[in-house]
Amino acid sequence: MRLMFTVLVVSTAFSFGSAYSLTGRDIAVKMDEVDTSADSQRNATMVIERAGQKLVRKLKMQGKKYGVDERSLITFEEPADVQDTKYLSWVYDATDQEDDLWVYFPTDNLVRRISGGGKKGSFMRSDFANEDIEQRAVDDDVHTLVEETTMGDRSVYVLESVPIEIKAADSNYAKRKVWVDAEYWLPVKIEYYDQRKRLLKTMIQGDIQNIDGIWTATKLIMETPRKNSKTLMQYFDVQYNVGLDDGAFEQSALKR
Amino acid sequence: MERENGVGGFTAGATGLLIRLRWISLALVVVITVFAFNQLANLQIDNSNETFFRHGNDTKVRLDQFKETFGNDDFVFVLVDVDNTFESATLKRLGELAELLELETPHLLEMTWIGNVESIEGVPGGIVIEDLIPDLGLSRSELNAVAERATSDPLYKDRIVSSDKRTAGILLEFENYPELGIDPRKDVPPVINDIIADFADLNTHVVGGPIMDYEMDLETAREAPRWMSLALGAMVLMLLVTTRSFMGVLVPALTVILSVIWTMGIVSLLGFTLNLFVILVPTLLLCVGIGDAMHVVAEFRQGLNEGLSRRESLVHTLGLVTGPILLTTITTATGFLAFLATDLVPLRELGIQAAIGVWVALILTFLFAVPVLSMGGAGSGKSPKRSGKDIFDHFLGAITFLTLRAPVPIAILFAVGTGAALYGVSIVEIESNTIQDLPEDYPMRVAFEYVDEQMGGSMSLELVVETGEADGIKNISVMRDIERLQAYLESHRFVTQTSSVVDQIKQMHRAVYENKEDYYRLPEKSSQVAEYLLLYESGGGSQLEKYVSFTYDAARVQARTKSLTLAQVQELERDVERFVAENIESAEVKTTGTLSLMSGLGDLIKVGQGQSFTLAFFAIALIMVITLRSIKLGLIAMVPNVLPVFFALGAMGWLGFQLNMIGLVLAPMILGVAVDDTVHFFVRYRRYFDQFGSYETAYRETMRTVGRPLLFTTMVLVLGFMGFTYTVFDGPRNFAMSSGIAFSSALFAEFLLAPVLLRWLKPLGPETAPKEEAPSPLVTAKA
Repeated sequence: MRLMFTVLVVSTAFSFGSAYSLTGRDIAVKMDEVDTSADSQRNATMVIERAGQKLVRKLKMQGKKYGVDERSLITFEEPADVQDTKYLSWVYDATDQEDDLWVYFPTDNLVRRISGGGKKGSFMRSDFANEDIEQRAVDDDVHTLVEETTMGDRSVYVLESVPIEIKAADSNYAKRKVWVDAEYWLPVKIEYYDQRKRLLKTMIQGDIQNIDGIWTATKLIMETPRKNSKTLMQYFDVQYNVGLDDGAFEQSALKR
Repeated sequence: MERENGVGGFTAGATGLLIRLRWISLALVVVITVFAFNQLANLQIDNSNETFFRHGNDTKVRLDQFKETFGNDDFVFVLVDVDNTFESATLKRLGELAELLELETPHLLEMTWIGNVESIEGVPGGIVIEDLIPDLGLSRSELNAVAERATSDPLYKDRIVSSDKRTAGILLEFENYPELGIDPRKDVPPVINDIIADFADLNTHVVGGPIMDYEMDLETAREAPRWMSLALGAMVLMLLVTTRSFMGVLVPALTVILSVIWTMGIVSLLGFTLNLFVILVPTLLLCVGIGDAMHVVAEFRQGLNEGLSRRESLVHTLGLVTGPILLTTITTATGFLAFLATDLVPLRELGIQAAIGVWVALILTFLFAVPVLSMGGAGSGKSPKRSGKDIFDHFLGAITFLTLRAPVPIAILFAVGTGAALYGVSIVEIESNTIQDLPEDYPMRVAFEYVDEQMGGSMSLELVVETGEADGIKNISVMRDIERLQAYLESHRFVTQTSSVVDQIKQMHRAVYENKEDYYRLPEKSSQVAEYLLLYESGGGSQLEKYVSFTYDAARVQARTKSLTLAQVQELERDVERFVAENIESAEVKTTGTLSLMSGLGDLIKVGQGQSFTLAFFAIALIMVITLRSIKLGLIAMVPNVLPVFFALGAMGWLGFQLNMIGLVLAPMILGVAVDDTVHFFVRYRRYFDQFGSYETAYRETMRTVGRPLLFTTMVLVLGFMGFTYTVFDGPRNFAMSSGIAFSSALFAEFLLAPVLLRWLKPLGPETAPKEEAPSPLVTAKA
């Protein structure tokens, strides 16, 4: 009897283990490695639609890699009343190190370091949360491959990514379900589930282009049905390896 | 007399047909009753204030716009009575409750308590955005620091924790409810109550719109059957006392019970919901609908007493009362349909349903009461002849004597009474705050008063500042106007605290300037406002969407108040409007929210009472003029109908009763019901005047024949309405008392004042015959 039980357990484990040739983490790593550039910059336009009303936001995004860490600078262009406001962030790969964020207020001509929360907040009143915009470190989540399937005529992997315990408090989500294109290793659809495991919002990524040898999704649509709200984020003038100066990513450079 | 002969011939034929087909008729009644009974299970109760407004009503439109812009304003506030909120063990226990509420409350958008509120604080060179209590395991000194901040910062103080730290609040806010058939907000209270029941060690109080409506629904569902049973019991008792016969009790009582079942079945089929108004309908119908059957039974028994067979007596009865009961049905239904003149949805529904009900009662009088009365062998149904006069005869005799002998004192008495009543009407207070309608020790009222006491108020007036252009509220001049408006509100005696986006901007300004208190003020430039808002909205900013519209064209200012009376709400609204007109130039300011809803309801009650009364008056007066074939007689007939309305409302004023929503039913209903007495009285009076040519004889004969049924129907009506006094609400109790006064005074006006007016004003022309002793009405009917 005991032998039979052991055989069952071992064979079950084996069959589960060999169901897919890749693990969830393998796929997450592949996604993380898509952008091979040293730095990048792009212009973005966000159109937020809610109950028949529309907001338009324009910004410039720049980023540079420092080993496994990254620094990014967002400069707001529209609406005019926040023009030249800047957000500088230093994102660390180490799960136990908190990211740094500085904000430049042009009217007061002041730079302030922002610490603590804020990741869960909405990005410029859009359907994107700040945490959706940032690059997420692979091991901030536990990734499980749940399915290999197709979307349209494309093969996709479906991952479930659940934040690790120390990151859970910083996230709006109990889990994300990610459909990853098996050729570009880019997410094409993400479902975000709230802490009550209810579907909160859905993002679709499209218009994937090969720019300077890097597959890049240039159109993102995030929809929050409960709020009757939808945000289109469109990237323009995407450039990689432009040789951005390190100084641009220092807080001292934020002031005019 | 030609018309009467025609009617008499027709009714004789129709009565014969009814008697021949009585078994089919009764079978039909059984089938329809079973069908209607099965429909009753589908009836739903709904007491929410918003359902009171018609589509397109200004107050409702404003509230809907407000919800679309700032989200659902519905909330449930769970308050916990503790020794000190800022003790580790207390916080932990509160946290467990908060977490469970967050996880399980349906339609929840956000749960806020002291353990998860955001804090934005300036530090040298930076801004810290984090939870006010980052983790529940803080040291004693850290907790003291948090307590100090929470009880002094207007963002938390008396919002989620009381100044004395002894009350902790858990605020549950809801998403816009899904549009399903059944009210989704009803899902909320049972879940919350269940969770709280598991925290028996905590002393909790729960308030909020969904809780209030849910409790009201439960109470209404508990009370309605009691009202019905009491009304029915009282009726049976009165019927027994007045008729002293099995048939006299059973036939009217069964007829009216069947009417209620049929009507509520139709109500269910038409898809109406029940509310505190409509729940009156069954009891109302019991009382109003019984008149038809009582008149039929009374006249039928009189026929038997005079020696007629069952069939003869029925022919005689229907010949005599069909006209009047048809007419009373028309007038009563008209009185109820007058509610269509109001904008209050449930009242309109009540009008339609009660009108259906009185027609159903008439139909059942023919389909059920008449067939039942026709049964039994020849003469076996004969009632024992009344030997001598009973107390009612003596009473009616005394009334008749008094009226004929002392017309002047009677007229003076009514004139003085009317004057006093009119003064009473002028001092009646209108009240639409449901909480004020509950007894002081009722748990829900206690909870609301606890919130008033501990957390600075359970109600709120919402002001929407509209600039008319996108990003308009970021303009510093608009911000300053909002600040001025807030300062004015805070100085108002009814307002306990206010909140708006200005609070957030000041908080951000202070945080950007390293938490220096000097900077807790508005910045100088519009661009600073925009930049702070940008950081606020990205840095957590959970409060932002509650206070500014999506395109920043409008902002919300909330003024919290204790539970106010309608008069206080309207005073506050007037004061705010005056202040806005004189001081606010950069934007338009509109009022909305629960208090505004209450104020709107108050207006509807006031206007609705007037409109529906006026409509009922003219419609019924027209019917009376046509029926009595005389403008003068028709108008005199309206006197005993209108006076009871003044007497009832006047008594409310004198007794200090408040006119609330149920009271709105009073005036048109009194008119519609009191007119029944008038119809029976005046139709008979006219008949006897035509016959005897004498006002005095016509009066004596009228009193002798319809005096008893009128007295009995009134007694049944008054006692039946007393069922409504068995309630926790002031509304139905006041309604019962005022109705009692109205119906009694209607009868006295009919018996005492109407004959005096008739004799003085001679609307039927000069008398044609000397006084004579009238023969039995049966002889004249047969003649």
